[in-house]
Amino acid sequence: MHNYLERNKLLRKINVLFFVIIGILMIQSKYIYGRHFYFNNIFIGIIILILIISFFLSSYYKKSELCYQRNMYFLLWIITIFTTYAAYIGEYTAVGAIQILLLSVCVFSIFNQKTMKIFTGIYVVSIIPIAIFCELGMVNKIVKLSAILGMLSMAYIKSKYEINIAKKLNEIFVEKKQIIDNAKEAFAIHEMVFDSKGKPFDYIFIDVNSAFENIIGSCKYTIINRTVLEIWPKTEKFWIDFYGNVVINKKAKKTTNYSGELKKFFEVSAYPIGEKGFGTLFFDVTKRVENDRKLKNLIEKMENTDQLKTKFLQDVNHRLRTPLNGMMGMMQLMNREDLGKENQEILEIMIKEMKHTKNIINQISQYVNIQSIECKYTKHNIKKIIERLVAPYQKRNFNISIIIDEICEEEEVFFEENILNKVCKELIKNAAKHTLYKKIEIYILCELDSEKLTHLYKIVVKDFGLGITKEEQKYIFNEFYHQDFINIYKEEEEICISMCKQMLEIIGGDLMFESEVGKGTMFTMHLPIYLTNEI
Amino acid sequence: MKILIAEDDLTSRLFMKKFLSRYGECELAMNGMEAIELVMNSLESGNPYDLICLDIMMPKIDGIKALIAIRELERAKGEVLTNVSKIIMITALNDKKTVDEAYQNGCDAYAWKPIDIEKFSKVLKKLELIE
Repeated sequence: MHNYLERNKLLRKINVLFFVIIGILMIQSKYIYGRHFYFNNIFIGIIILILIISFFLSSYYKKSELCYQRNMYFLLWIITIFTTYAAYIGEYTAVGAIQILLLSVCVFSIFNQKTMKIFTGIYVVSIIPIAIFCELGMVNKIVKLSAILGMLSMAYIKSKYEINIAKKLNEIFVEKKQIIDNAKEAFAIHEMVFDSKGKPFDYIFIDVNSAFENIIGSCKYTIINRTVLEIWPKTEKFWIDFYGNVVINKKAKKTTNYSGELKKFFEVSAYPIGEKGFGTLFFDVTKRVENDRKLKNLIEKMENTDQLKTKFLQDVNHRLRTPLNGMMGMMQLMNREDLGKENQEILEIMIKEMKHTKNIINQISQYVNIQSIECKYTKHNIKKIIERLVAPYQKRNFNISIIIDEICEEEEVFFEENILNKVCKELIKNAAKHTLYKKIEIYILCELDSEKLTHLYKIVVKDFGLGITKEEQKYIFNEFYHQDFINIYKEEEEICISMCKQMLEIIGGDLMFESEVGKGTMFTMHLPIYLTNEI
Repeated sequence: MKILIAEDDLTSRLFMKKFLSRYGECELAMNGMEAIELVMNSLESGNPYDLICLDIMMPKIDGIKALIAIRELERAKGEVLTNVSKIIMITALNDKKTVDEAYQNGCDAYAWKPIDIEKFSKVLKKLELIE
């Protein structure tokens, strides 16, 4: 494209030069010979004049460069024929003119290095016989005719050759153009317009493809060679500044923004072309932007709802405890007295139900507390963390072996740190309490969950204790906050297995176990991990 | 043993009074401000409380603020550590933040409603308030 714009200008300049030279020669001829250059016959002269003028004008007609060149060459050939004819019939100054013609055509063919040699060859070959004829002064009609025929046929062959090349080039050009034209992405080429201070304030559409036509909803000829502010006066300053930036800094850039006139969000890549031009690639991202916004709103709504729910439960939790305290307290006090066997029985049942209610409320408390755990995502090597948690037990002569997948051994990944620490601590403590021979095995495995497309670490804590009976297994995860929470001097925060499971579920993990009586128990923890920190 | 119970709920107050009466003389306060006043008087008369039970959710001045104030009063009076009253928070709140705050400001124990009197008695024994 750069060459196209430059070449067009140069071509026109050469055309002008060419005609100036002809003009000079005409004037010279007039002075020397008293008549205009190679115009023996006034009619031939007029024809040539018309051809020259029409071709002069054609350089300003916006046709494809190749058609133009082809026509130019053809005209030059015709002129060459006439001049050689004139030379042949005795106008020796015409030989000089031909040589100048030769020169100018060679200059033309600068643009096509390969064919330059061919042109030069053809011209030279065609001139030589004429020159010979002129020197020999043969006035034989047959020779004259055959010379003319020879010239004409060479001209014809040459022009055919030209046309073929032009066709081929055009085909390639058309093919290339078709790819761009039929692309799904919208392309456009523009030229920036600057004000007197060199600041960009508008741009012209030079060409667009059919995808672009679809976006604007009309044929490209309605916008080509018009400026953007002419077509869409309300175009935001942002766009013009953005393109101006690309053109001035000669650096390609990408942006996503809204166009009020087209009522769409576009992702635009712009790249500079030449001095003032730039090309753009448009993607209609309206749907994507809207979906992103919808998603964001939904997440916000979900978080708010979740917060309200937790707050409500917290509130209810508090308020229930006060009357419960009163009721249970009074019942306990009454139990201290002797009420007679039947009343004693009734009272004991009442107290039992009260304790049951208390346990249920404790479960709510536990749920609320787990919800309010702060999630802290950090990047770490999990093996090191487990080694640290296991250290105090190793000091007490526990035999703890950590078996880890080779991949995970040195790996540093992103995961939730608080919950991992709490759960691992609890599982190890539990294993230490139940195992025999002070033996614990810990396995760390890495897996890809192909359904959810997340990476998982499976951490297995295996003890070699008495195992858990089938009866007890039912209650493992139903065990709730059995601590009545009267502690002195701030004992360590107690958590239980069911809390571990709940906490893991919050971050998208899980807790499972397998147990065999007499052999031991194995708790498996699923911890989701991330390779990047965009959580 | 001299006992102070600060609690805004009537039933709970009654319960604690009935429960703790067997261990000593109970005085009642309905909110944090009353509790602070009573403690002030007791310190001035040279007869401090052995045990103070504080609820946290109380009108006017809440339990934590009362706790801070009481410990401050004791410090101001220059009481030796052994004579300082034992303070037990009795409350429905159990979130980590509140528990930490209570311990930071000098409470001796933290009891969660509803109270189990057997466990509470054990705590009193541990704090060496009863046999």
